[in-house]
Amino acid sequence: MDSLIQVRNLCIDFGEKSVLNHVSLEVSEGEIIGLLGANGAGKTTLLKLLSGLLEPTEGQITVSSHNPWNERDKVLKHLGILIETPVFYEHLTAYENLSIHLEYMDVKADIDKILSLVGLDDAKSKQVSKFFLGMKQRLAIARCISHKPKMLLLDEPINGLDPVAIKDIRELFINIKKNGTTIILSSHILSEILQTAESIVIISNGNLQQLGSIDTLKEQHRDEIENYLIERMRG
Amino acid sequence: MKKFNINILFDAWVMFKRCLIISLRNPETLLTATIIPFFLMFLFSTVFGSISDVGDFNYIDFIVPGIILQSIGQASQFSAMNVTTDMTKGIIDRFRCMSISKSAVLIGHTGAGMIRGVISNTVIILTALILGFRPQAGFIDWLLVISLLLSINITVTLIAVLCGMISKSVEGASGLLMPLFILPFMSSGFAPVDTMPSGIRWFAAMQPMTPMIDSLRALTLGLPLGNSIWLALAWCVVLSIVSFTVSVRIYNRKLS
Repeated sequence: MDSLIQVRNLCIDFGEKSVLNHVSLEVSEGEIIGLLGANGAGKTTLLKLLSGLLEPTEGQITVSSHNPWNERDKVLKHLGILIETPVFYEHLTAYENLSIHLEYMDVKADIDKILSLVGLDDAKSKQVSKFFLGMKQRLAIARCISHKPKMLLLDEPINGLDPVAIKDIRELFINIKKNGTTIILSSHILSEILQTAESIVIISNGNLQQLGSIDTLKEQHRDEIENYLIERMRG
Repeated sequence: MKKFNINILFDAWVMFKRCLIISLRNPETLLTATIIPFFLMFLFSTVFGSISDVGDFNYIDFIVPGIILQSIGQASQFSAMNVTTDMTKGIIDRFRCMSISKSAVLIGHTGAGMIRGVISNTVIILTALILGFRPQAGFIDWLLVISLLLSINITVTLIAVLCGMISKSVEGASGLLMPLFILPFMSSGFAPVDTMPSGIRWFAAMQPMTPMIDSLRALTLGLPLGNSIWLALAWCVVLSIVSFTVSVRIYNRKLS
Protein backbone atom coordinates (compact mmCIF):
# COMPACT_ATOMS: atom_id res chain seq x y z
CA MET A 1 0.00 0.00 0.00
CA ASP A 2 1.19 3.58 -0.72
CA SER A 3 2.05 5.86 2.18
CA LEU A 4 -0.58 8.56 2.42
CA ILE A 5 1.15 10.30 5.29
CA GLN A 6 4.86 10.54 5.88
CA VAL A 7 6.31 12.30 8.90
CA ARG A 8 10.08 12.61 9.26
CA ASN A 9 11.90 13.88 12.35
CA LEU A 10 9.06 16.15 13.29
CA CYS A 11 9.57 18.58 16.16
CA ILE A 12 7.32 21.24 17.55
CA ASP A 13 8.04 23.51 20.46
CA PHE A 14 5.66 25.81 22.28
CA GLY A 15 7.96 28.35 23.81
CA GLU A 16 10.59 26.38 25.66
CA LYS A 17 8.49 23.25 25.89
CA SER A 18 9.17 20.55 23.33
CA VAL A 19 5.84 18.85 22.63
CA LEU A 20 6.95 16.51 19.87
CA ASN A 21 10.58 15.50 19.62
CA HIS A 22 11.88 14.07 16.32
CA VAL A 23 8.88 11.86 15.69
CA SER A 24 8.43 9.86 12.53
CA LEU A 25 5.35 8.14 11.21
CA GLU A 26 4.05 6.44 8.10
CA VAL A 27 0.39 5.83 7.41
CA SER A 28 -0.77 3.78 4.47
CA GLU A 29 -3.94 4.33 2.51
CA GLY A 30 -7.01 2.66 3.88
CA GLU A 31 -5.72 2.17 7.43
CA ILE A 32 -7.44 2.99 10.69
CA ILE A 33 -4.78 4.20 13.09
CA GLY A 34 -5.51 4.60 16.76
CA LEU A 35 -3.55 7.43 18.35
CA LEU A 36 -3.12 6.90 22.07
CA GLY A 37 -1.57 9.05 24.72
CA ALA A 38 -2.21 10.62 28.07
CA ASN A 39 -3.83 14.05 28.30
CA GLY A 40 -1.37 16.65 27.08
CA ALA A 41 0.86 14.07 25.38
CA GLY A 42 0.61 15.76 21.98
CA LYS A 43 -2.12 13.84 20.15
CA THR A 44 -4.10 16.94 19.22
CA THR A 45 -0.90 18.73 18.31
CA LEU A 46 0.07 15.96 15.92
CA LEU A 47 -3.37 16.04 14.28
CA LYS A 48 -3.10 19.83 13.90
CA LEU A 49 0.32 19.43 12.30
CA LEU A 50 -1.04 16.87 9.84
CA SER A 51 -3.88 19.20 8.88
CA GLY A 52 -1.66 22.27 8.47
CA LEU A 53 -3.12 24.14 11.41
CA LEU A 54 0.29 24.31 13.06
CA GLU A 55 3.73 24.79 11.54
CA PRO A 56 6.40 22.37 12.73
CA THR A 57 9.56 23.73 14.28
CA GLU A 58 11.57 21.11 12.46
CA GLY A 59 11.05 18.09 10.24
CA GLN A 60 8.91 17.21 7.26
CA ILE A 61 5.32 16.20 6.77
CA THR A 62 3.70 15.10 3.56
CA VAL A 63 0.02 14.31 3.24
CA SER A 64 -0.99 12.97 -0.17
CA SER A 65 2.44 14.13 -1.39
CA HIS A 66 1.82 17.72 -0.28
CA ASN A 67 3.10 19.78 2.62
CA PRO A 68 0.02 20.62 4.72
CA TRP A 69 1.45 23.92 5.97
CA ASN A 70 2.62 25.32 2.62
CA GLU A 71 0.09 23.65 0.36
CA ARG A 72 -2.92 23.77 2.62
CA ASP A 73 -5.51 24.13 -0.15
CA LYS A 74 -4.29 20.96 -1.85
CA VAL A 75 -4.39 18.97 1.39
CA LEU A 76 -7.57 20.30 3.03
CA LYS A 77 -9.94 19.28 0.26
CA HIS A 78 -8.98 15.65 0.89
CA LEU A 79 -9.28 15.88 4.66
CA GLY A 80 -12.16 15.56 7.07
CA ILE A 81 -11.11 17.12 10.34
CA LEU A 82 -12.63 16.92 13.79
CA ILE A 83 -10.28 18.55 16.25
CA GLU A 84 -11.27 19.83 19.68
CA THR A 85 -14.81 20.98 20.39
CA PRO A 86 -16.92 21.06 17.23
CA VAL A 87 -18.19 24.50 16.30
CA PHE A 88 -21.28 25.21 14.23
CA TYR A 89 -23.47 28.06 13.10
CA GLU A 90 -25.81 27.84 16.06
CA HIS A 91 -28.74 29.63 14.42
CA LEU A 92 -28.71 27.25 11.49
CA THR A 93 -30.17 23.76 11.42
CA ALA A 94 -28.14 20.59 11.11
CA TYR A 95 -29.16 20.33 7.47
CA GLU A 96 -28.16 23.93 6.76
CA ASN A 97 -24.80 23.56 8.48
CA LEU A 98 -23.96 20.59 6.30
CA SER A 99 -25.32 22.30 3.22
CA ILE A 100 -23.04 25.30 3.75
CA HIS A 101 -20.08 23.03 4.42
CA LEU A 102 -20.67 21.18 1.16
CA GLU A 103 -20.98 24.46 -0.72
CA TYR A 104 -17.61 25.56 0.61
CA MET A 105 -16.09 22.22 -0.37
CA ASP A 106 -17.79 22.48 -3.79
CA VAL A 107 -19.18 18.97 -3.38
CA LYS A 108 -22.68 17.62 -3.86
CA ALA A 109 -23.91 14.97 -1.45
CA ASP A 110 -27.11 13.47 -0.11
CA ILE A 111 -27.36 15.34 3.18
CA ASP A 112 -30.35 13.34 4.37
CA LYS A 113 -28.37 10.13 3.92
CA ILE A 114 -25.33 11.54 5.74
CA LEU A 115 -27.46 12.66 8.68
CA SER A 116 -29.09 9.25 8.75
CA LEU A 117 -25.66 7.58 8.93
CA VAL A 118 -24.90 9.44 12.15
CA GLY A 119 -28.40 9.05 13.59
CA LEU A 120 -29.51 12.65 13.16
CA ASP A 121 -32.28 12.19 10.60
CA ASP A 122 -34.93 13.23 13.12
CA ALA A 123 -32.98 16.35 14.06
CA LYS A 124 -32.15 17.69 10.62
CA SER A 125 -34.45 20.70 10.92
CA LYS A 126 -33.45 21.53 14.46
CA GLN A 127 -31.22 24.52 15.13
CA VAL A 128 -27.81 23.47 16.41
CA SER A 129 -28.22 25.80 19.40
CA LYS A 130 -30.71 23.23 20.72
CA PHE A 131 -28.38 20.25 20.28
CA PHE A 132 -26.84 18.31 23.17
CA LEU A 133 -23.10 17.64 23.14
CA GLY A 134 -23.57 14.15 21.73
CA MET A 135 -25.70 15.46 18.88
CA LYS A 136 -23.10 18.12 18.06
CA GLN A 137 -20.42 15.46 18.05
CA ARG A 138 -22.47 13.35 15.63
CA LEU A 139 -23.05 16.36 13.42
CA ALA A 140 -19.31 17.05 13.49
CA ILE A 141 -18.65 13.50 12.31
CA ALA A 142 -21.28 13.95 9.60
CA ARG A 143 -19.55 17.12 8.48
CA CYS A 144 -16.20 15.33 8.36
CA ILE A 145 -17.44 12.57 6.10
CA SER A 146 -19.91 14.56 4.01
CA HIS A 147 -17.48 15.58 1.28
CA LYS A 148 -16.05 12.03 0.98
CA PRO A 149 -12.49 12.89 2.00
CA LYS A 150 -9.58 10.53 1.46
CA MET A 151 -8.59 10.86 5.08
CA LEU A 152 -10.21 11.59 8.42
CA LEU A 153 -8.37 13.15 11.33
CA LEU A 154 -10.56 12.64 14.38
CA ASP A 155 -9.70 13.92 17.82
CA GLU A 156 -11.77 12.18 20.50
CA PRO A 157 -14.67 11.55 18.11
CA ILE A 158 -16.81 9.64 20.59
CA ASN A 159 -16.65 12.36 23.22
CA GLY A 160 -20.13 12.87 24.66
CA LEU A 161 -21.71 9.91 22.88
CA ASP A 162 -23.84 7.31 24.62
CA PRO A 163 -22.94 3.60 24.28
CA VAL A 164 -25.45 3.01 21.47
CA ALA A 165 -24.11 5.96 19.48
CA ILE A 166 -20.54 4.83 20.14
CA LYS A 167 -21.29 1.44 18.62
CA ASP A 168 -23.03 3.02 15.62
CA ILE A 169 -20.17 5.43 14.99
CA ARG A 170 -17.60 2.65 15.37
CA GLU A 171 -19.40 0.64 12.68
CA LEU A 172 -19.61 3.76 10.53
CA PHE A 173 -15.84 4.25 10.71
CA ILE A 174 -15.21 0.63 9.84
CA ASN A 175 -17.53 0.91 6.82
CA ILE A 176 -15.88 4.14 5.71
CA LYS A 177 -12.51 2.48 5.93
CA LYS A 178 -13.74 -0.31 3.63
CA ASN A 179 -14.23 2.37 0.96
CA GLY A 180 -10.53 3.18 1.15
CA THR A 181 -10.64 6.13 3.52
CA THR A 182 -7.71 6.45 5.88
CA ILE A 183 -8.66 7.27 9.46
CA ILE A 184 -6.50 8.53 12.28
CA LEU A 185 -8.48 8.70 15.45
CA SER A 186 -7.17 9.76 18.77
CA SER A 187 -8.69 8.80 22.07
CA HIS A 188 -7.77 8.21 25.64
CA ILE A 189 -10.42 5.46 25.83
CA LEU A 190 -8.27 2.41 25.30
CA SER A 191 -11.09 -0.04 24.74
CA GLU A 192 -12.53 2.05 21.96
CA ILE A 193 -9.21 2.20 20.14
CA LEU A 194 -8.83 -1.56 20.48
CA GLN A 195 -12.27 -2.16 18.97
CA THR A 196 -12.06 0.37 16.13
CA ALA A 197 -8.45 0.77 15.01
CA GLU A 198 -6.23 -1.66 13.11
CA SER A 199 -2.90 -0.39 14.39
CA ILE A 200 -1.73 1.76 17.24
CA VAL A 201 0.53 4.74 17.62
CA ILE A 202 1.42 5.95 21.09
CA ILE A 203 2.65 9.40 22.00
CA SER A 204 4.34 9.87 25.33
CA ASN A 205 6.91 12.36 26.60
CA GLY A 206 7.18 13.93 23.13
CA ASN A 207 8.08 10.63 21.52
CA LEU A 208 6.04 8.54 19.11
CA GLN A 209 5.95 4.75 19.04
CA GLN A 210 4.34 3.02 16.09
CA LEU A 211 3.39 -0.28 17.66
CA GLY A 212 1.88 -1.93 14.62
CA SER A 213 -1.13 -4.15 14.17
CA ILE A 214 -3.58 -4.55 17.04
CA ASP A 215 -4.24 -8.16 16.05
CA THR A 216 -0.52 -8.90 16.45
CA LEU A 217 -0.40 -7.12 19.79
CA LYS A 218 -3.43 -9.09 20.99
CA GLU A 219 -1.73 -12.35 20.00
CA GLN A 220 1.42 -11.34 21.85
CA HIS A 221 -0.14 -9.93 25.02
CA ARG A 222 -3.62 -11.49 25.09
CA ASP A 223 -5.49 -10.33 28.23
CA GLU A 224 -2.60 -8.11 29.27
CA ILE A 225 -2.78 -5.90 26.20
CA GLU A 226 -4.38 -3.00 28.05
CA ASN A 227 -1.74 -3.08 30.76
CA TYR A 228 0.94 -3.25 28.10
CA LEU A 229 -0.42 -0.23 26.28
CA ILE A 230 -0.81 1.74 29.48
CA GLU A 231 2.81 1.08 30.37
CA ARG A 232 3.87 2.27 26.91
CA MET A 233 1.76 5.38 27.37
CA ARG A 234 3.59 6.12 30.60
CA GLY A 235 6.82 6.11 28.59
CA MET B 1 -6.02 34.45 -11.28
CA LYS B 2 -9.48 34.05 -12.87
CA LYS B 3 -10.09 30.83 -10.93
CA PHE B 4 -8.87 32.49 -7.76
CA ASN B 5 -11.33 35.40 -8.20
CA ILE B 6 -14.22 33.04 -8.88
CA ASN B 7 -13.41 31.14 -5.68
CA ILE B 8 -13.50 34.38 -3.66
CA LEU B 9 -16.88 35.32 -5.14
CA PHE B 10 -18.32 31.88 -4.59
CA ASP B 11 -17.05 31.59 -1.01
CA ALA B 12 -18.21 35.15 -0.28
CA TRP B 13 -21.68 34.31 -1.62
CA VAL B 14 -21.94 31.25 0.65
CA MET B 15 -20.73 33.32 3.61
CA PHE B 16 -23.19 36.09 2.77
CA LYS B 17 -26.11 33.63 2.70
CA ARG B 18 -25.09 32.23 6.06
CA CYS B 19 -24.76 35.71 7.64
CA LEU B 20 -28.12 36.73 6.20
CA ILE B 21 -29.90 33.66 7.54
CA ILE B 22 -28.42 34.29 10.97
CA SER B 23 -29.68 37.89 10.85
CA LEU B 24 -33.17 36.83 9.83
CA ARG B 25 -33.32 34.19 12.57
CA ASN B 26 -32.14 36.57 15.27
CA PRO B 27 -35.19 38.65 16.28
CA GLU B 28 -33.06 41.34 17.93
CA THR B 29 -31.39 42.05 14.60
CA LEU B 30 -34.68 42.61 12.87
CA LEU B 31 -35.96 44.72 15.75
CA THR B 32 -32.91 46.94 15.70
CA ALA B 33 -33.19 47.34 11.94
CA THR B 34 -36.90 48.21 11.95
CA ILE B 35 -38.59 49.11 15.24
CA ILE B 36 -35.83 51.27 16.68
CA PRO B 37 -35.47 53.46 13.58
CA PHE B 38 -39.25 53.78 13.53
CA PHE B 39 -39.35 55.03 17.11
CA LEU B 40 -36.37 57.33 16.60
CA MET B 41 -38.13 58.96 13.68
CA PHE B 42 -41.36 59.23 15.65
CA LEU B 43 -39.67 60.59 18.79
CA PHE B 44 -37.61 63.26 17.09
CA SER B 45 -40.38 64.48 14.83
CA THR B 46 -43.06 64.67 17.52
CA VAL B 47 -41.28 65.44 20.79
CA PHE B 48 -38.35 67.55 19.62
CA GLY B 49 -39.86 68.98 16.46
CA SER B 50 -41.85 71.63 18.26
CA ILE B 51 -38.87 73.02 20.22
CA SER B 52 -36.14 72.91 17.56
CA ASP B 53 -35.23 75.78 15.27
CA VAL B 54 -33.87 74.67 11.93
CA GLY B 55 -34.46 77.85 10.03
CA ASP B 56 -36.78 77.63 7.04
CA PHE B 57 -36.94 73.83 7.04
CA ASN B 58 -39.73 71.63 8.19
CA TYR B 59 -38.07 69.79 11.11
CA ILE B 60 -38.86 66.33 9.89
CA ASP B 61 -37.45 67.14 6.44
CA PHE B 62 -34.32 68.40 8.16
CA ILE B 63 -33.65 65.41 10.42
CA VAL B 64 -34.38 62.48 8.08
CA PRO B 65 -30.75 62.22 6.86
CA GLY B 66 -29.42 62.39 10.43
CA ILE B 67 -31.78 59.69 11.62
CA ILE B 68 -30.81 57.53 8.65
CA LEU B 69 -27.12 57.78 9.50
CA GLN B 70 -27.74 57.22 13.17
CA SER B 71 -29.68 54.05 12.43
CA ILE B 72 -27.01 52.82 9.98
CA GLY B 73 -24.58 53.07 12.87
CA GLN B 74 -26.99 51.22 15.12
CA ALA B 75 -27.64 48.43 12.62
CA SER B 76 -23.89 47.97 12.10
CA GLN B 77 -23.34 46.77 15.63
CA PHE B 78 -24.65 43.34 14.64
CA SER B 79 -21.99 43.07 11.99
CA ALA B 80 -19.37 43.80 14.63
CA MET B 81 -20.90 41.35 17.09
CA ASN B 82 -21.24 38.59 14.49
CA VAL B 83 -17.62 39.01 13.41
CA THR B 84 -16.43 38.90 17.02
CA THR B 85 -18.51 35.79 17.61
CA ASP B 86 -16.89 34.12 14.61
CA MET B 87 -13.42 35.15 15.75
CA THR B 88 -13.82 34.10 19.37
CA LYS B 89 -16.15 31.09 19.31
CA GLY B 90 -14.08 28.94 16.99
CA ILE B 91 -15.86 29.46 13.67
CA ILE B 92 -12.70 30.98 12.22
CA ASP B 93 -10.75 27.95 13.38
CA ARG B 94 -13.25 25.88 11.39
CA PHE B 95 -12.49 27.96 8.34
CA ARG B 96 -8.81 27.21 8.77
CA CYS B 97 -9.68 23.54 8.31
CA MET B 98 -11.28 24.33 4.96
CA SER B 99 -10.03 25.76 1.74
CA ILE B 100 -12.02 29.01 1.95
CA SER B 101 -10.86 32.27 0.44
CA LYS B 102 -9.72 34.51 3.26
CA SER B 103 -11.54 37.59 2.00
CA ALA B 104 -14.81 35.67 1.76
CA VAL B 105 -15.51 35.96 5.48
CA LEU B 106 -15.15 39.75 5.45
CA ILE B 107 -17.08 40.15 2.22
CA GLY B 108 -19.90 37.94 3.46
CA HIS B 109 -20.28 39.83 6.73
CA THR B 110 -20.13 43.16 4.91
CA GLY B 111 -22.82 42.08 2.48
CA ALA B 112 -25.17 40.94 5.23
CA GLY B 113 -24.53 44.13 7.18
CA MET B 114 -25.42 46.18 4.13
CA ILE B 115 -28.74 44.39 3.82
CA ARG B 116 -29.54 45.19 7.46
CA GLY B 117 -28.65 48.82 6.81
CA VAL B 118 -30.83 48.99 3.70
CA ILE B 119 -33.79 47.51 5.60
CA SER B 120 -33.28 50.11 8.31
CA ASN B 121 -33.05 52.95 5.76
CA THR B 122 -36.25 51.82 4.08
CA VAL B 123 -38.16 51.72 7.37
CA ILE B 124 -36.99 55.22 8.25
CA ILE B 125 -37.94 56.74 4.92
CA LEU B 126 -41.35 55.10 4.96
CA THR B 127 -41.95 56.22 8.55
CA ALA B 128 -40.82 59.73 7.72
CA LEU B 129 -43.24 59.89 4.78
CA ILE B 130 -46.08 58.91 7.10
CA LEU B 131 -45.03 61.56 9.64
CA GLY B 132 -44.84 64.39 7.14
CA PHE B 133 -41.52 64.12 5.27
CA ARG B 134 -42.03 65.69 1.86
CA PRO B 135 -39.02 65.13 -0.37
CA GLN B 136 -38.56 67.24 -3.48
CA ALA B 137 -36.19 64.83 -5.18
CA GLY B 138 -36.51 63.90 -8.85
CA PHE B 139 -35.68 60.52 -10.34
CA ILE B 140 -31.96 61.26 -10.76
CA ASP B 141 -31.80 62.68 -7.23
CA TRP B 142 -33.29 59.48 -5.85
CA LEU B 143 -30.76 57.40 -7.78
CA LEU B 144 -28.02 59.50 -6.22
CA VAL B 145 -29.60 59.13 -2.78
CA ILE B 146 -29.70 55.34 -3.17
CA SER B 147 -26.10 55.25 -4.42
CA LEU B 148 -24.90 57.43 -1.56
CA LEU B 149 -26.79 55.38 1.02
CA LEU B 150 -25.30 52.17 -0.36
CA SER B 151 -21.83 53.72 -0.15
CA ILE B 152 -22.42 54.84 3.42
CA ASN B 153 -23.82 51.44 4.37
CA ILE B 154 -20.75 49.70 2.94
CA THR B 155 -18.41 52.10 4.73
CA VAL B 156 -20.08 51.83 8.11
CA THR B 157 -20.35 48.05 7.82
CA LEU B 158 -16.65 47.78 7.00
CA ILE B 159 -15.84 49.88 10.06
CA ALA B 160 -18.07 47.59 12.10
CA VAL B 161 -16.33 44.49 10.69
CA LEU B 162 -12.98 46.02 11.70
CA CYS B 163 -14.29 46.65 15.22
CA GLY B 164 -15.45 43.04 15.31
CA MET B 165 -11.98 41.87 14.30
CA ILE B 166 -10.28 43.95 16.96
CA SER B 167 -12.59 43.24 19.84
CA LYS B 168 -12.10 40.28 22.16
CA SER B 169 -15.74 40.16 23.24
CA VAL B 170 -19.16 40.74 21.76
CA GLU B 171 -19.87 43.49 24.34
CA GLY B 172 -16.60 45.16 23.46
CA ALA B 173 -17.43 45.08 19.76
CA SER B 174 -20.67 46.91 20.40
CA GLY B 175 -18.87 49.44 22.60
CA LEU B 176 -16.24 50.21 19.96
CA LEU B 177 -19.03 51.37 17.66
CA MET B 178 -20.39 53.92 20.14
CA PRO B 179 -18.91 56.86 18.17
CA LEU B 180 -21.08 55.90 15.20
CA PHE B 181 -24.19 56.43 17.34
CA ILE B 182 -22.95 59.75 18.73
CA LEU B 183 -21.36 61.38 15.69
CA PRO B 184 -24.70 62.12 13.93
CA PHE B 185 -25.70 64.23 16.95
CA MET B 186 -22.47 66.21 16.66
CA SER B 187 -23.01 66.96 13.00
CA SER B 188 -25.51 68.80 10.84
CA GLY B 189 -27.95 65.97 11.44
CA PHE B 190 -30.24 67.49 14.06
CA ALA B 191 -29.35 71.17 14.15
CA PRO B 192 -27.60 73.59 11.79
CA VAL B 193 -23.85 73.53 12.40
CA ASP B 194 -23.59 77.31 12.69
CA THR B 195 -25.87 77.27 15.77
CA MET B 196 -23.37 75.14 17.72
CA PRO B 197 -20.69 76.42 20.14
CA SER B 198 -17.41 77.13 18.33
CA GLY B 199 -15.46 74.00 19.34
CA ILE B 200 -18.27 71.63 18.48
CA ARG B 201 -19.02 73.64 15.35
CA TRP B 202 -15.47 73.07 14.13
CA PHE B 203 -15.67 69.37 14.90
CA ALA B 204 -19.09 69.04 13.27
CA ALA B 205 -17.80 70.75 10.14
CA MET B 206 -14.75 68.45 9.92
CA GLN B 207 -16.23 65.07 10.70
CA PRO B 208 -17.36 62.72 7.89
CA MET B 209 -21.05 62.52 8.83
CA THR B 210 -21.72 66.19 8.08
CA PRO B 211 -21.04 66.09 4.31
CA MET B 212 -22.95 62.78 4.12
CA ILE B 213 -25.96 64.30 5.86
CA ASP B 214 -25.72 67.57 3.93
CA SER B 215 -25.63 65.61 0.64
CA LEU B 216 -28.65 63.49 1.54
CA ARG B 217 -30.54 66.58 2.67
CA ALA B 218 -29.68 68.50 -0.50
CA LEU B 219 -30.69 65.59 -2.73
CA THR B 220 -33.97 64.83 -0.96
CA LEU B 221 -35.06 68.46 -0.65
CA GLY B 222 -33.90 69.68 -4.06
CA LEU B 223 -31.24 72.03 -2.62
CA PRO B 224 -27.87 72.97 -4.19
CA LEU B 225 -25.48 70.05 -3.72
CA GLY B 226 -22.19 71.97 -3.68
CA ASN B 227 -19.05 70.04 -2.76
CA SER B 228 -20.64 68.00 0.00
CA ILE B 229 -21.34 64.99 -2.26
CA TRP B 230 -17.66 64.77 -3.27
CA LEU B 231 -16.53 65.12 0.32
CA ALA B 232 -19.02 62.46 1.38
CA LEU B 233 -17.85 60.04 -1.30
CA ALA B 234 -14.20 60.76 -0.54
CA TRP B 235 -14.79 59.92 3.12
CA CYS B 236 -16.60 56.72 2.11
CA VAL B 237 -13.76 55.62 -0.16
CA VAL B 238 -10.97 56.41 2.30
CA LEU B 239 -12.70 54.89 5.33
CA SER B 240 -13.72 51.80 3.35
CA ILE B 241 -10.23 51.16 2.00
CA VAL B 242 -8.59 51.67 5.38
CA SER B 243 -11.14 49.51 7.23
CA PHE B 244 -11.01 46.70 4.69
CA THR B 245 -7.22 46.67 4.44
CA VAL B 246 -6.68 46.64 8.19
CA SER B 247 -9.41 44.01 8.67
CA VAL B 248 -7.79 41.71 6.11
CA ARG B 249 -4.39 42.11 7.80
CA ILE B 250 -5.79 41.36 11.23
CA TYR B 251 -7.75 38.41 9.87
CA ASN B 252 -4.72 36.95 8.09
CA ARG B 253 -2.65 37.36 11.23
CA LYS B 254 -5.26 35.53 13.29
CA LEU B 255 -5.48 32.75 10.72
CA SER B 256 -1.76 32.10 10.56
